[in-house]
Amino acid sequence: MGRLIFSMNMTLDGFIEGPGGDLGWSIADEELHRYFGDEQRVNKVNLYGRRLYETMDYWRTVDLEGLSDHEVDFGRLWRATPTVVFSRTLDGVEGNARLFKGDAATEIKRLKDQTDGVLSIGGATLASSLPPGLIDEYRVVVHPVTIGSGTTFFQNQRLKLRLLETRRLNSGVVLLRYEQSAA
Amino acid sequence: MRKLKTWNMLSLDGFFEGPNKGDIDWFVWEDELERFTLDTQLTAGTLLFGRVTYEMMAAYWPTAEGRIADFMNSVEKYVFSRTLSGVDWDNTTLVKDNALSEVQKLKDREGGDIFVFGSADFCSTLMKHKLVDEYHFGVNPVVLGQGIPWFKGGYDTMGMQLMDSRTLKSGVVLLFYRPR
Repeated sequence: MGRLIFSMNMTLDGFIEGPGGDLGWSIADEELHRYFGDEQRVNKVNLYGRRLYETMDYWRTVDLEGLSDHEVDFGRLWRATPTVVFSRTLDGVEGNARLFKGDAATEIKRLKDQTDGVLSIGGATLASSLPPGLIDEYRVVVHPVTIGSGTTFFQNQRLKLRLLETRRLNSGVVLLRYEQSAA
Repeated sequence: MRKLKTWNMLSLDGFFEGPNKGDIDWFVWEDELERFTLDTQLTAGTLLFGRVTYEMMAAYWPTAEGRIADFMNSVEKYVFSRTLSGVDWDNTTLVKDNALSEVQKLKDREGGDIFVFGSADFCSTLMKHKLVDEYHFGVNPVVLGQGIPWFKGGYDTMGMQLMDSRTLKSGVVLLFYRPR
């Protein structure tokens, strides 16, 4: 039985992206890249919605030669990790990814049962479409910025959580780790 | 010149109140948080309120007892509202017009820092006009899904500097920011 983790950047006012998919506010320094690299290192599989797949597809095509060490590390780890993309509108996906057009919750439950280790889910719409209890852990990476509008990290769910860990990065990013509380 | 600091308890998804009016049952309140409140906020020289928070506080504190109650009742208070006709809580002044310049005048005075508790609409105005010097949040380990968001939008992207953070045993995370 795997552990399903929802981990994403969030602005202080609760958004994962600004209008039109704007991510210009996010800090992408070495420390944070290494943090996400460490996450990626233990991921058995990435579960993405369409939009996040399109964003992360950058790492499939980018020439790693020109990048700094921590970016190269992240890029290699990401390419080595299989990705399942949940979308009804995409026709196909590239690289180490496969497209799944059916019921995401059913497929993710099946993958969780099959996987020994961490499954990482990304994309707020996909994550919030899952039944309560399927996601074991929330990692909210809070950036020190407010942007006013956009797509929110949490969408219309009510969750009782238990704080597992907080970590403060030099950039002022705060990592908050929670699991669903039984109560 | 005094600093203006806001203090709010928020859900992880940024609501200060659930979908029903006054729905704050999810606030975690415990000794550690109370000690933090006593240590930092009871040094305030002036408190500012919007109407809704003022009405809630003015209905509660005058008959309450203890150190916090004594402080709340005796400290200098200002409530900013165009619709209130009067105020009867001790040491409270009603400001109906020119709120922003009144706030600036208060900041220019000497004394203990100015705190704004709750008062999300009023805070939103202060935030837009860059009158807030520090944002203090207590992030509760709960996601509400619906309710009244503390951040109202309508501002440009604002970079913040994380000044400090503290993790309480209850799972509440205190975050302190100042605008860049």
